[in-house]
Amino acid sequence: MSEHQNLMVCTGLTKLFGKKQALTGLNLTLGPGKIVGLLGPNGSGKTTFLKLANGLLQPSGGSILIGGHAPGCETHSIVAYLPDRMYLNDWMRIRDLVDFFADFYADFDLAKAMEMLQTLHLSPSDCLKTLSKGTKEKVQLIVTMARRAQLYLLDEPIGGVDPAARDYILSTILQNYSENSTVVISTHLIADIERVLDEVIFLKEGELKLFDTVDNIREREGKSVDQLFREVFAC
Amino acid sequence: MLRKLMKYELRSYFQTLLPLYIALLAAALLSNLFSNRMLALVMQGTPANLIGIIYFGLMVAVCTISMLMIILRFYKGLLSEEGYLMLTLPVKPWQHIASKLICSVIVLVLGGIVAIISFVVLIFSLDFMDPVILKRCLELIVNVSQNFSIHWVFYFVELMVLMFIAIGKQVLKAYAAISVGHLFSRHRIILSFLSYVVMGGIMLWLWGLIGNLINLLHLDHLILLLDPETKPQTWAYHLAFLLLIFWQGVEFILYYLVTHRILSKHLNLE
Repeated sequence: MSEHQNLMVCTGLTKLFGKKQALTGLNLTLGPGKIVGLLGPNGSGKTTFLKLANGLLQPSGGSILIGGHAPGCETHSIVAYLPDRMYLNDWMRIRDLVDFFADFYADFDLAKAMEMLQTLHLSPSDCLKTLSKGTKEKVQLIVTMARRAQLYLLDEPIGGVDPAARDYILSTILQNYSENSTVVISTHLIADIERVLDEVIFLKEGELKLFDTVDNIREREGKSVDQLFREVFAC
Repeated sequence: MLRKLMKYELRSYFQTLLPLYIALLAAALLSNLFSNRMLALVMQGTPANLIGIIYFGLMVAVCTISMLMIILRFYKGLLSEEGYLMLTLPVKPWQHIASKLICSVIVLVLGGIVAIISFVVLIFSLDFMDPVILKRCLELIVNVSQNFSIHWVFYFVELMVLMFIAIGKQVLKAYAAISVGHLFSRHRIILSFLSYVVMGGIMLWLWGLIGNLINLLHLDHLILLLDPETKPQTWAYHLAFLLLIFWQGVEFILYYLVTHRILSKHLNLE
């Protein structure tokens, strides 16, 4: 795959928090048109990796390039990021947040966002501070997935929502899947997302343990990704 | 992008401050009305005192909340949870700093204007409509106009520039201190406060050093420029203004550079 076709390239990516190594020499290349599962137990470096990809953390060593650029203004316009926490400004209504995204992102599809809100029975006039935690997560996911980004980085997108919404979220991710965009999903709920994944990344204590296609894993190991995960990360 | 950032920043500010401004003006108006002799007789002075206390409380609230919000809008908006949204926008760090700085200055200046208007409303009396007082005011204006010099226009412009740079510098100093505090993994608020104090100390030391250098190089005779005997006094005042603007401007740039460097190269949103 040529340099231009590589959506994300990590070379020796390392992150230290004091003396603790959160990521150690990660070498990874992601191409377009994939749904990638970023899997690992708590503290394995999944969130750190996604934050480095968004420029919210600075690497202690190595580099990460997205579309040939270090994380920054250029990459933010092609990356849609869903963090693992609430970033909502409480004074806003849902409509204000949708307008905010439409204002700043040229690839934001307003009609699609409104359609998703309607499907999940969310009123644009609802004030964000009155929403439950799960509903806030849905709103954040909607504004992220309503973008036509090249790379979606989703940190625990299905962790805090009910099973019905979980199915809707996964189908939304599948609908956004295109030849040009790649979706990276970080989660513990492997069984729920395994059916949509093309590739998986196993992280353990900040190190890359496995990066392969789901088909290869099933063929080679003769087991599902969920079963392999339980073996690799057995306590 | 800067305009868009400012739009949301100002909306965020005025969600809280606009009701306070309205309440302050209303309290000033009511206080004035209840201070009226006729009404005071009817109400026996009590409401006037009460509304006066409320007015004073609101004035303190406008000042305190404005300053607190300036700090919180930077800390929460960029270096806390909201930073996950703001710092992943396709916006450059200088635009974030500029939008927050410009909006902070607008809030401080607007707060000052509202406070002045409320005070005028508070003390305004129909006695000012007395023809004798009006005539004296008119004479005063005519007198000032006759003595008007072009220097006053420049004094005013220089004062305005100095005021805006000085306000901006104070805001940037707070931003720089918060950003330095953010570099640490623990006790960030205390360390931000300490950074603020230390940065102030360093600037004082730096200006003292420059003062000593001027003495050592015998450049202090330049101070004679400020002597009304050697130069017209008006030019001495202009020079003093320009020196103050330069002094504040240097600090303004230094604090901006510290904030920008940390946001662009040392961001660690944990």
